[in-house]
Amino acid sequence: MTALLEVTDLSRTYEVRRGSWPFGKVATLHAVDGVSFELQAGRTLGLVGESGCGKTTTAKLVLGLVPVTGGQVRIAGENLPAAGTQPWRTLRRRMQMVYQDPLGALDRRLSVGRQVMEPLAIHGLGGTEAERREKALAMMDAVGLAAHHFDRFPHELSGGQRQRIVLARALILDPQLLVCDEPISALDVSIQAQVVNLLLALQQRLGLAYLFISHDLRMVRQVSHEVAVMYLGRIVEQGDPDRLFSAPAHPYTQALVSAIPTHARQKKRRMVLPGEPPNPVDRPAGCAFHPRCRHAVARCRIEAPALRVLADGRRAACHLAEQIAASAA
Amino acid sequence: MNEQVLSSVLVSLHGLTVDFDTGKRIVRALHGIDLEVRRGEALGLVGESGCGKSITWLAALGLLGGRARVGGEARLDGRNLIGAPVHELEQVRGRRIAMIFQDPSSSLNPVHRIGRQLCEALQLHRGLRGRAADAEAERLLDRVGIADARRRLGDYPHELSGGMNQRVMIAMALAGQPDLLVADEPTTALDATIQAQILELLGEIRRESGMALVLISHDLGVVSENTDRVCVMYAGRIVEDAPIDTVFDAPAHPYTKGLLAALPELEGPRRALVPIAGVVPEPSNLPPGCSFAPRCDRRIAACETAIPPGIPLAADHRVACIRA
Amino acid sequence: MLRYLAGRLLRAILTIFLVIAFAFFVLHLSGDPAMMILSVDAPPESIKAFREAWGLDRPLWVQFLSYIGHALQGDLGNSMRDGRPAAQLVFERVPATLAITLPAFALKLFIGIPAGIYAALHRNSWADRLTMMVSVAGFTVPSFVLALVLVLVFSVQLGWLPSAGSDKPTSVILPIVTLGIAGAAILARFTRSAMLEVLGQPYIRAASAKGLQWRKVVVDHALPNAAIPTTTIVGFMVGTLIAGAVVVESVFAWPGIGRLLVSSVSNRDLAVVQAILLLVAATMVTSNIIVDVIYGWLDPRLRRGGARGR
Repeated sequence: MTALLEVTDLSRTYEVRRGSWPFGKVATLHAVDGVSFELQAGRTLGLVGESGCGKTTTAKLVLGLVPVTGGQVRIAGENLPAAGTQPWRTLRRRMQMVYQDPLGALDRRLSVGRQVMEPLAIHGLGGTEAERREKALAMMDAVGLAAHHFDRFPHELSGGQRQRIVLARALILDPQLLVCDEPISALDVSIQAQVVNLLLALQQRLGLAYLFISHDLRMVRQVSHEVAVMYLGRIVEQGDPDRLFSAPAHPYTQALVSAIPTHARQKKRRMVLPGEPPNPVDRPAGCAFHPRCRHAVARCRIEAPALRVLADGRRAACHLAEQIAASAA
Repeated sequence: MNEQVLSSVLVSLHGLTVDFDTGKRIVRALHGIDLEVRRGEALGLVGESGCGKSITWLAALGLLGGRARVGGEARLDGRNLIGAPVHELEQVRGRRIAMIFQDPSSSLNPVHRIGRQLCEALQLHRGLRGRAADAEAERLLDRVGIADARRRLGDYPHELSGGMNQRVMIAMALAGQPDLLVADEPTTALDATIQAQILELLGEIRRESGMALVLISHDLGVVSENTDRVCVMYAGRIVEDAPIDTVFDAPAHPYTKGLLAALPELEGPRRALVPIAGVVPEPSNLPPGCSFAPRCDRRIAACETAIPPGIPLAADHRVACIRA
Repeated sequence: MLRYLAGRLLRAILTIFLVIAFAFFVLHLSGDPAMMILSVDAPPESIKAFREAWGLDRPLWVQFLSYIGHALQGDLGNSMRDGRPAAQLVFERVPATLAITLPAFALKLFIGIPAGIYAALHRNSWADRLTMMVSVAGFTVPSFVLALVLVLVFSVQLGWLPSAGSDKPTSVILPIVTLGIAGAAILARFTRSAMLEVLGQPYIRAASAKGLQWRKVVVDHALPNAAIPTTTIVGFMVGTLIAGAVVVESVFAWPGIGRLLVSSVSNRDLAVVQAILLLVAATMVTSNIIVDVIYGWLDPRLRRGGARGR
């Protein structure tokens, strides 16, 4: 069956000028460079990586918020229409976004109930004002908020409650796909669990698909059916979360997993990744990761590895993927 | 359990309280903190937003500003820092107790070069000037793992990444050769791999210099890997104080248990997360009795009437819960 | 850097040109200079002769081009009142205006800025509240009201200072004070907010945590950062040094550019008005450029842009 979301060879480049006009050469920044994945209805794809890896840009490309410079986005088999057009707006009903900062995503001057109702008004759905209000109340109930919260303002609610409002607002149009960009990082630990459980319950009930973007690997593992690790605009490893995290096939995934602080007793050999993530404009030749990789060999400097399928069904973009996976197991 | 020779106590806090005067009323943010930091020890301070973990140390160093009223004791070498005259505190800050903060890029003055800010600390604490100061600044930057240190001295903070700025902050903290470094969420704003680098650096420095470390974080994982002992805080009080292994293997306080249950694992079978119901109470609106009671699944009537004192469960394990 | 300045200079010249063009067309379209100068019931022949003599009968755009052409050679036209070159008339008056605006500027700086800093450092104290109340009064009270009040107190009641004119050495005092107060008030308020903003930044707390004395923290860390936004306002005040005293000069009958502007406008003495506007535009634009350069010096983030490394 066709995937709900199908992304093929997606690219987004920016022309940047190093130095001030009119000096400085123009360089190309590959924010997203040839990303491909599929997302079926009712499933979650986790996208992880550090700053500058392109995960947020990917999210925006998927929704059409940023124009694509290469590749394709297909929703339920149809190409994504150009942004701003009526077909795009209609399609947007089926795809919504949830952001990191719930306070920033909500209008400070409107009551939260009205903000949940607003998407219905924008798309001309939901019948009369009273009917929309009913729907909004029902949605708020579904996310675990009481009716008396309807007239509150965002600053009167806690962080977790605000994020629930953002979710309610995103869900009121009955979307099929929810793009969540760091939806829980701004919340306290005990609230994160509440919101994550809510997301999972809603997925069960409504058959939602999630594109879950986060830097928190543990949370990603908790919610995802499949995980893709990004580095400098490319996917370097993709596959089943359990296998990916327990026996990473790419050195960068290894480093990410190793970097997660865990209770000392359970910790495996610690691998600290040297250096800084390079400037996306200065992408190294060959494999983008090779300057920081302790397994790098001559081939890595010259030839950029393709994302290929490994024996266990995972994909990894590393010439030495099999050895890496074996050594970590 | 190992018998360790316990080193002497470096800093001890007794009944530390902090009240904020908001103009309209006084709100108590810290309700009597008791804790000790020994020489060379690594102590973790864990809690969610608003629990008072940062305020504790800002209060001890007198950095809270005019609206805060601090009570209780914070003893360093027997001297109480609370209420001490400013010039005494200035002697302590940076030289005996140094502090680094959460967002390194905004903790550095944007209009001064890195070298100047480092030399400022060196002059203040070690009387170094000119060439000698520059040389030492370079050595410090090198020590914290900044490549091309000499060139970096002439850079401005906005020209360095977050991770590098945090290294600079650590270098500045080391300039005074302090006995204790308080690191307030030092890696929260940084990427995971950079976080690992910084924590590793802190560990190295500790081992080399015997400096004590207080690591403040909301992340139990971060604290578990880098400290020997942890204090868990909730709503302005310490609710549990135990060695790291104990906290993970046999947590006693329901809040600690709740935090652990709410954290997903990276390995092993995937289990449902068990969130802690409810929300953290507002400091101005604390429930009577135990602050955690409304969210606690083990509460009884007695929990709602009296604030539980710290009950010693073992020589090194204290819990503020009558049902532990 | 040179390229940057060249670009700014070009934009500056364009701005000045636009100001002149705007002034030119508005002035020429808003009333007949001949009738103003010769009086309404002058015979039509003399009006016609006047217009011919001054080239006012030519099409507007021809007049404009002719004006620009002459201006580029330094000839800004002649006053229609007394025939003297406009440029000369205007420059004659500059010293008088500067005699009150420069000291007023110094007053604004040396009272306004310290007051603002003090208020910020002692926030919510009685000193802070007093300073802020006084400063609100200072800039809300219109300058002519303030001038008249000062005249009432110091000239009429106390008889210490002259109420108008420029003959005595003490005549300069009241105009300077009137001008200075409003500016000092604005600057105090602005400096206070700039300081408060800076004092709330994490690096101030970090500097204290280093063990620096508070005085050093304020002087070495806070002030240089607070100077950045304050420079904007100061730059603006520099730009108004020439023409910012129109009301005050009128109230005190001070023979400066402000008074000249008022009389030239009511007389439709076009060349003089345009000459003054040209001077004002040039001053403003120059001070803007200087402020931009100073910004770059004060705030390294604006210098070359972007982070190195990452």
